[in-house]
Amino acid sequence: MSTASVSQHESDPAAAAREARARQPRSYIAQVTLAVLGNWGAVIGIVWVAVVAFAAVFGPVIATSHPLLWHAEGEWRSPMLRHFSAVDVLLLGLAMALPLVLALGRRPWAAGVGALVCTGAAALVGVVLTLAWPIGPVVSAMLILLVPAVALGLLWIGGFERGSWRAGGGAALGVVLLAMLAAFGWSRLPDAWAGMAIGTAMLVLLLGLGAWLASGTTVLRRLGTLVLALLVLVPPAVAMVSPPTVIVYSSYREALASGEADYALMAPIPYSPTDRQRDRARTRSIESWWGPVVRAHVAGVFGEEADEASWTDRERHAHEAGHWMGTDRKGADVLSRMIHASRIALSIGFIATGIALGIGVVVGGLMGYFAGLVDLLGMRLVEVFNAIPTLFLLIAFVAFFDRNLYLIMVIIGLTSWMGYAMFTRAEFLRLRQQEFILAAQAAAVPLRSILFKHMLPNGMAPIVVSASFGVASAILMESFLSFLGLGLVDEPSWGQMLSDAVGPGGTFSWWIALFPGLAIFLTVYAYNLIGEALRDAIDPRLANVAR
Amino acid sequence: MVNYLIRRLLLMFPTLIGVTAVVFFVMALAPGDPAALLMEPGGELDAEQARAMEEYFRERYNLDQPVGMQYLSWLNQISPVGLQRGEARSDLLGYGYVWEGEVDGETRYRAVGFKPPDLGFSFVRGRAVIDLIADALPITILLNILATPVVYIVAILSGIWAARHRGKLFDQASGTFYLALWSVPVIWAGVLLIGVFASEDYVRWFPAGGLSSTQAGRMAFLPTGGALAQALGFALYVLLWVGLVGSSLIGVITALWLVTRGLGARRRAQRRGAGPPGVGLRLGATVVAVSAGLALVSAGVLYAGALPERMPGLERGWLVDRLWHLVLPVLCLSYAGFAFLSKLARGAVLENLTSDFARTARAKGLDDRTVLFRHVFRNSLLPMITVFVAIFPSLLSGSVIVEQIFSINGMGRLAVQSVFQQDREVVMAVALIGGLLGLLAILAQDVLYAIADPRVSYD
Repeated sequence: MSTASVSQHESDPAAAAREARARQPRSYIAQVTLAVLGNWGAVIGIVWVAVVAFAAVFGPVIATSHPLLWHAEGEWRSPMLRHFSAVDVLLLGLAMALPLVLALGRRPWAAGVGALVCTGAAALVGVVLTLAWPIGPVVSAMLILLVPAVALGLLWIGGFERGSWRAGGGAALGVVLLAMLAAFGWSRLPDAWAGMAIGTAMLVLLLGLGAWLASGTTVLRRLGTLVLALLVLVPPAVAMVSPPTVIVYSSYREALASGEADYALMAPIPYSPTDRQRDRARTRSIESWWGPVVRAHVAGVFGEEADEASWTDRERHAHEAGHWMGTDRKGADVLSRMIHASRIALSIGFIATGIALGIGVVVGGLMGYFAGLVDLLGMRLVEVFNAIPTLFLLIAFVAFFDRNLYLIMVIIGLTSWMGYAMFTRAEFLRLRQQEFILAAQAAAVPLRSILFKHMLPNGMAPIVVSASFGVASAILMESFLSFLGLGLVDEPSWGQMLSDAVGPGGTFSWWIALFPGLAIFLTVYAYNLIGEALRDAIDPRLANVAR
Repeated sequence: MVNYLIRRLLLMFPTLIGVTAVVFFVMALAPGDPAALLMEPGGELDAEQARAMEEYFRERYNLDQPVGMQYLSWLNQISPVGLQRGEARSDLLGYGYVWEGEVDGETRYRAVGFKPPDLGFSFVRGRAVIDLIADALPITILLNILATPVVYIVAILSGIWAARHRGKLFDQASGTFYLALWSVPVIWAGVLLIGVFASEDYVRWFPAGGLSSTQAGRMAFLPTGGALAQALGFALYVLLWVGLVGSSLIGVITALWLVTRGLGARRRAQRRGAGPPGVGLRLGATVVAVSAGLALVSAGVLYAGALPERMPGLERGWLVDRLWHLVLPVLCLSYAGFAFLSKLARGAVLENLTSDFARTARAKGLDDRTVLFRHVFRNSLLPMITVFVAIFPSLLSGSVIVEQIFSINGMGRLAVQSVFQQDREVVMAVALIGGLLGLLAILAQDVLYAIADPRVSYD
């Protein structure tokens, strides 16, 4: 029986390869990932974090007062594209490039695909610019014909002649970038088309760049080149993408009403976070449109009057105004503000935790490796930061420093590194007695290599678990600061919306309290669930004690 | 153990210096001119006040000197031991060695020794900062002292029950419930509680804020009015006195017993052979501590009640009114600790339930209840003591939010208001006092742990 199956597999090399792969033990990361994905709490957490990330990235597209398409005075415009900020464009580009980076993997032809896409982008931009305003036949011919030809030529040479698609793709990309920069520098773009052209161009460029990067080898190298690409793209994006600073949201609604504009394609939630709807009467503290409906149904169940005639004036107005989660006390739509606030929450969560991880791992690693006096001093430092209550220290920082998004990230990171330091110290104290470390020391491996290449990967487990809880705590800290009124001033934030809920006269607007609070709760709960699942997956001993 | 405590105390000093350094350098490293930052007026000041403020800041912070000297002179001013300068002998407060000197032809006096710490002057409020903190600190401490036992009792009970019925419904349900409860942000819980239980639109079971009603100053201490209320009030009064006297008596007697037992312990140990101090000593110390605490609390409550006069009619009374105002804030402050402590208690009890000594006890024939409460429980308390040092600063942080939501004039609210009024010295003082409280918590935790676990040593 067994000989028959062996001969069967021998004749089928693909099946034999698959079987060989299946017999191999899974890598540690694969094991942990599978265990985490098997925990339904963690899956729910990951799904919610994905929802919030989607809202953070695509917020300017799904919740904005600017129409996607606008037809007035015989011209087609896109105010939404025009009003994109540099951060919006970068995030959108990243979001589209990231799946390509992760999916294409080690395919050798990925570089070629990327370069082709970029060449297509150059041609597209050339066409758009030509149509938008006269740049002269020479420049437009160059953009539409010459530059793509040169790029394709470079790609061919690099790929087929020299055998390196990456080099060819890189050269092609470089040419395209230079040409675009030259074209933009040369021309004076009329305002209305600038954002549209630039936005489209950057999106497609990032798409192509992502595909080109995907032809790299390890995940770390790919991500590293992505970071490098970001650093290259951020300054031009910040310089070139400049949305107008004076915005009158009501102009769109007024133009539609008066007939000046023929057609407007609005976003799903047609309100920006700072649109106070000044052109409409009675815009403050409106309930959700379904609130009165639900209440009427519930009353109907208990046999009371439920039809619309019996509603109060206020309830009828709320039903007609059509806000999904009502408006706050200034008249801005709550759902739109919540979507835009998710960007602040997630970015502060990740970056503050990253900063805290950096400080904590370095300090803890040094403490654990050297022990002795360094350990003593380090423990005093940890004790100092542990003793001062976090919020007091944050308030002291905010009192003396400005309110700046990046500064808040840094100071939240500065006040939460101690946990990571203690975990790293414990792991390093345990690891420095191990023989492989003694061997590395005997072989005169440099210190930074011992710390970061030998000890840290072996001691990462509790730090990863702690980082998940740390992101939750950073998001909480930011919401506390915003609640107290000490956070960012003009950006919407979940905590700041909560502070709006109980009004000055003691009135309570349940929708302003429920939804932002629910968002904070679900995000923190999601990270806690992911952290718990990671802990159960990484350290089975802890899981056994818990069982 | 004494060795351990002495080393711990000595190691506290660098941390203390570190705390003051962190607080000072937040100010010193701020962008912009520190002088401009400190002197930014939050309110209306006339010319003379502005001059006085400038003079004060220049003298206090030595703004023309390098940062290191600024830090040292600030440290000197806030510490209870240090150098003082004055134009007349009466300027120098406290106890110390005084000497005279000649500066620019005028006699100046200097003193080194104990002095009252000078935390600054708030020009916005027109009071010394230390007065502001003396008003606000007891309120914050009251909130935290009320919240701590609530957290501990709920967590210990829940943890023990979950450990006893491990794997069953209560264990899993409480685990999930506590994790969810831990994730509920204080801001949301507080706003929802106020909105549902304390607003006009919904039920009004609790007050929306503050620590006492506006008429509280005129209320009697205990509930008055009606025979039943008066009887209950009298019973409560008697109970408080019994508590005071009883716990004092118990504490004194136990302390005496401890001393006599401790005096003879060394000789007894030498006769019997060396061994760890008996359970009796540690239990006795715990009893003394608890009864001293109870006595202090009853005395405090009775003393506070001696002030207002009586009034006729059915009335809540100051004490009940204060407790009624404290329910929601203490609830908000304490729910976050349930999850963490309950998990810890459960883990500790579980670990001890499966240990060798518990197995021996069960093999001897003891029933589960005795094993749990006589043997396992005490050993499980040790990690709960350790964690107190982590809980206390987080309780202080949480009380900032709770005080802001419920309009309670504690330290957190003082700090937040001072940020908006640009009264930066108050903010620095609050951070400093918060750090000191945290250090005291660390010290208390170490002392308690050394008493509870004689095996501990510092290495």
